[in-house]
Amino acid sequence: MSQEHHDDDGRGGHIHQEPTSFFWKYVLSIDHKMIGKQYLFTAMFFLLFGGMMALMMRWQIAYPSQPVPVLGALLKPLAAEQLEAKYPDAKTRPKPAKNTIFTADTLKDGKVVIQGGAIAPEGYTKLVTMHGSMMIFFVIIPILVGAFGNFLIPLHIGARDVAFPILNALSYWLFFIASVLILGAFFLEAGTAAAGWTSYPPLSALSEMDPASSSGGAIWVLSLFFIGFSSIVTGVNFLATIVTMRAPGMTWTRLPLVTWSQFITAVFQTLATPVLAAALMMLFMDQVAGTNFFIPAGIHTTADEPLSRAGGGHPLLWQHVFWFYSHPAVYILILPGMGIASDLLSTFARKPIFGYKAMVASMCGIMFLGFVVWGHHMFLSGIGAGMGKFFMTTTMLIALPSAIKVFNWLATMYGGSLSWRSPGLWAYSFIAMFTIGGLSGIFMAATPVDIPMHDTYYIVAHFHYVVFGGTLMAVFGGLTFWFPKFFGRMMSEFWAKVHWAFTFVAFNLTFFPMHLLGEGGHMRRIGSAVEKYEFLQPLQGMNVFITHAAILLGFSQLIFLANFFYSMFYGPKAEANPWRSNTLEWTTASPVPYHNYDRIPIVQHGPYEYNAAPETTGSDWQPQDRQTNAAKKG
Amino acid sequence: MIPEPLKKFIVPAAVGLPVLVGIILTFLHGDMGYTLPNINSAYGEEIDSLYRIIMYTVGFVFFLVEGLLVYFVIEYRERPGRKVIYTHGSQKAELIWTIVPGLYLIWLGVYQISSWERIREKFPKASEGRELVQVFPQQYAWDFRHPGENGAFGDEDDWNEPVLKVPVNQNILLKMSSKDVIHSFFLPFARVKMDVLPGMQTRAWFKLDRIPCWDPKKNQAVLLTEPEFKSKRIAMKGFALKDKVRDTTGVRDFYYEPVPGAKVKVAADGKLEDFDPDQARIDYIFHHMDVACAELCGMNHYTMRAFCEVYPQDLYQKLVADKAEEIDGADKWKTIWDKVYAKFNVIDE
Amino acid sequence: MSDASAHAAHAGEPGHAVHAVSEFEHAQSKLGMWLFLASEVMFFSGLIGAYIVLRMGGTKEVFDGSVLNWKLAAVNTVALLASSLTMALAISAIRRDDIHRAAINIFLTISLGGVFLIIKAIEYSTKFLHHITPGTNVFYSCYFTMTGFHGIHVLAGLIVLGVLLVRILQGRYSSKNYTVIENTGLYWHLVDVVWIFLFPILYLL
Repeated sequence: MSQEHHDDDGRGGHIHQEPTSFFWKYVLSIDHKMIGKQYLFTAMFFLLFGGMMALMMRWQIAYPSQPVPVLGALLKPLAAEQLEAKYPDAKTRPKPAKNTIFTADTLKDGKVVIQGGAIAPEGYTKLVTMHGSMMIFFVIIPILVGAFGNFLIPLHIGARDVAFPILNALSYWLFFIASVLILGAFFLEAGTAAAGWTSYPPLSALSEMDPASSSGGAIWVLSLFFIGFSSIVTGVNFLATIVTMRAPGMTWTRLPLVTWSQFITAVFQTLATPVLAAALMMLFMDQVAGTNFFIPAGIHTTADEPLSRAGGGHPLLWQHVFWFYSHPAVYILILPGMGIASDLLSTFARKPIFGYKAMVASMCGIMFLGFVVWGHHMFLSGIGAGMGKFFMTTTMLIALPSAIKVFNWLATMYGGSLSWRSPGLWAYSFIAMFTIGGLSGIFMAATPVDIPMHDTYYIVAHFHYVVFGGTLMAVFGGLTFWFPKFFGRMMSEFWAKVHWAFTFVAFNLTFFPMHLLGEGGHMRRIGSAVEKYEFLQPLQGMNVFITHAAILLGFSQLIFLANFFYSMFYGPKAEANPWRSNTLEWTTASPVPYHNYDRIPIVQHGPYEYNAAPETTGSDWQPQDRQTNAAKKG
Repeated sequence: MIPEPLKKFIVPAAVGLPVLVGIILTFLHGDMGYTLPNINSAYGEEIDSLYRIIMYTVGFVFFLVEGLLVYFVIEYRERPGRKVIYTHGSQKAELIWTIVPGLYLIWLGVYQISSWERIREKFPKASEGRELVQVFPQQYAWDFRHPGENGAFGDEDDWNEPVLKVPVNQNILLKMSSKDVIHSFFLPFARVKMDVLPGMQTRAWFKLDRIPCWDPKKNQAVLLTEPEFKSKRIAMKGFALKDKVRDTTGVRDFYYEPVPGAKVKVAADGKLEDFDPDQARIDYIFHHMDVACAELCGMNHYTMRAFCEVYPQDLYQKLVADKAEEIDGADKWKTIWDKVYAKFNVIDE
Repeated sequence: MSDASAHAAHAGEPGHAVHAVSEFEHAQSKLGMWLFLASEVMFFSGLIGAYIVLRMGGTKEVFDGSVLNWKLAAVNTVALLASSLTMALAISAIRRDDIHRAAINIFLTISLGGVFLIIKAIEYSTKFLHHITPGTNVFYSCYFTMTGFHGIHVLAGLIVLGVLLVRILQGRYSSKNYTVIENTGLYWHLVDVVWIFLFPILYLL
């Protein structure tokens, strides 16, 4: 009987039998919901790992050369004398480790005179590189696109799965391979890459320049190549899905903004990521095949003779090709978060989104402009002044769509009935924090002001405000909100609020002072500024404060993890629509059944019909597959 | 306690007052808190004033938006009987908040183009009076090369030092190229920053109107104009000026010889020990400011510090003349400079 | 649920029994392939753009196409163009249910692609024998990288075509089920178009 309800509607809602074996159900699943969860759990692991690396960095900045608590003692390498003691037989004794993240103990006459376990200089640059690479590629993009995109797009458009489910699984396993590679680098002798997530050559191309670059950098390149490939396949999949598999009545102007944001993101993924692939392959060739794409002639190492490389390449070429992708990448990092915030806001303000068409137009504006602003990362890199003027203009323009969105969000809140339940709190926080991040961007877009700000903590503050304060807060809100759909249970509202409060306060205490550090000239990517630079010494107090706030911020996330995993198994069972939200996923059961919808819904109106005619309909919400006719009772 | 008609002003006041305070503080920001000294008389003030303009406008928007947001969250919070304003938008509102910010951004862009051109295109020509310095960073040190008395590079009177020595109140034009990886020349007090790449030449220019010195009584750095410098007793010259951080409390010991042979030790609290009375009466000690590398260049990137010493013009001439007399025997950089530079696009106008 | 629908494969996926691919799945699958091809265009654009930049900053002595064997490359160009023709013929054959003709044309496509790769191998090996490697100068860096990645794409295409040939002969495709072949044809045409750009850029100009 139920099988007849699973008919597709002739538009390609593929019919799958739900697999029964553990392997096909949980491991090699082709169900978009399970794949979404796979992305989610992998990304959450990297969130912890990347966050831990950030705390290690902050420890080094605040307490230079002090052993890192707990981790330092556990993970420090053995010094030569200690190896002799542990492995008396010289034949089986391993050599002292090189290129390690932690320092080893310094011994004199068999006694430890300087404790090891502090962050070594080469360790710091590796942490900086890995923290950035992991957070961008292995946390935010997988959660936004792999988890939320996969899980929600078919549900939001009223489909049973994505257009190409097997390719979808392939996407995840490519991501998995990339994860293995990037984690594996920690166990190699050369170690991980150490040239920043931006990996500028010649540093990243030549192992002579840095012990970890080139060999560690080559693994980094391969890992990113796999993850880029995963991204492209996902982008193609999502574009095809949204274009071809919308349920009857789901016109483009009735799509939830979550779906619109995923659509624009998928455009970036499909068209921009391949350029990164090209850049990565050229860098890889420079690293292992002796090519000279990015290596000019006459380059020296610390020796006085030039390297025997033919040269002819140009370091700026990498920056152009890399940023051509990486700027659209930052829009990949924010757009789905904006979509989530919009949907959450409308639900928790019980009001339609103000200016739906303007919101869509803004995102389309970001889509077009996003391809022509990459040079603003390169204002001081040696490009000509004319190119600087061009990119300054386009960058000023791209501030406009984001501003329009903020005003529309504010107008949505005006006159609403704003719930203070945790997804709502996250949505309001998103708007507040994204505003700060966006406004600080204007300083950098003004090129003369970028001169003192570039490569300082001002930039670090800016992007952490948009990605952590913006996207990650939207993610927390989205996970709490869609938890019933993912797992069929509710997260604890109390602990969600506690987590929100701690995170909101600690986040601002950590990252707002970084604006002041940047104004004071504090450069990026340096492990101990105070010991080295006189002009930075007044700022060390702020550094210590930021580190303490960061530790609070890091440990606060444990509240979320505890809430998340406990509720997954023991949380109260959720009804189909605990939030009385309008979009299609709430019309089906919690958790979402394998086939998504018993019948493919027929969409009647837009996704934000809250309080359209509450007196007549008797409710303040209206699912998308119900008539809006005020005369009809809900 | 509070009369009934005034109760509806509680929330707006509670939100509006901090907003107002915030806007006022923003305008005062430049005089409060920590800001870097700015001694670039060529365009330093232009940059800082542009920064202030953006701070005022953006700060106003920040407080407006955040204030409204907090106000809305409180005022429109979910309550029994709350009536929601159902609307899908307003074309008029969209037009206003598209056009007004759009105009602001366009204005801002246009306003700062001339500054950008001055800083990045209009380098001082030789006819305007300038000092040329070639900057040659490597992992992990800076080298600065001066053209000597004849003002041209590539001949015998060129001299180089790891310290950037420049005259005050004079255009300085830096021609920079890297030996190995990408570095970035950052002179914080002058608002100068420019990447330095291998295989090509980048340029930066500035003009300083202050001389960094050290006040031994207050134990802090001080910036003197040239007339001030000349009117004070400054300890410098012919000495090995070492500043050594003894421990993390920041106590420093300066050792200097105002005249050859006379050693005077100045402790952190300004007290002088082992001093010769004639030399003891000093106002300031000649000091330097930091040059930093602002582009990750390898594991010891954080150590890539150099000093920049600023000299009064007459002393600078004497310095250059003294350098000409030194026998520059082991200039190991000379061959590398000439070999490497010969391949680059050296712009020499 | 009937067996046919239970085994209903996604368009573009190696199917099980002979079954009809719906018009919807056919169009959807083709859209997916076009999107993928757009991404491939961007990939090669990245490489070609890099070449243009390097060449503009480089010297004529280094960026001299005459060091390459344009005659062999011309043969390669003809081979690829012909293989695109045979590919199109294969598609039109399968649409007429002419399995025999389709198989022959796929076979010809593979052969012509194989010729391409063999000539490429000859080109590469002669260079290596003369100690010319990707590191010799930046022109060769570009040459080896661009033609190398193109060659990898040709090889991938040939592998897929090989599998298709086997399956055509097994009778798995028909006028109602030829989406995979058409999509492979689109991919093959892209590979051809990329070569049409690479050939003059590297060898002639």
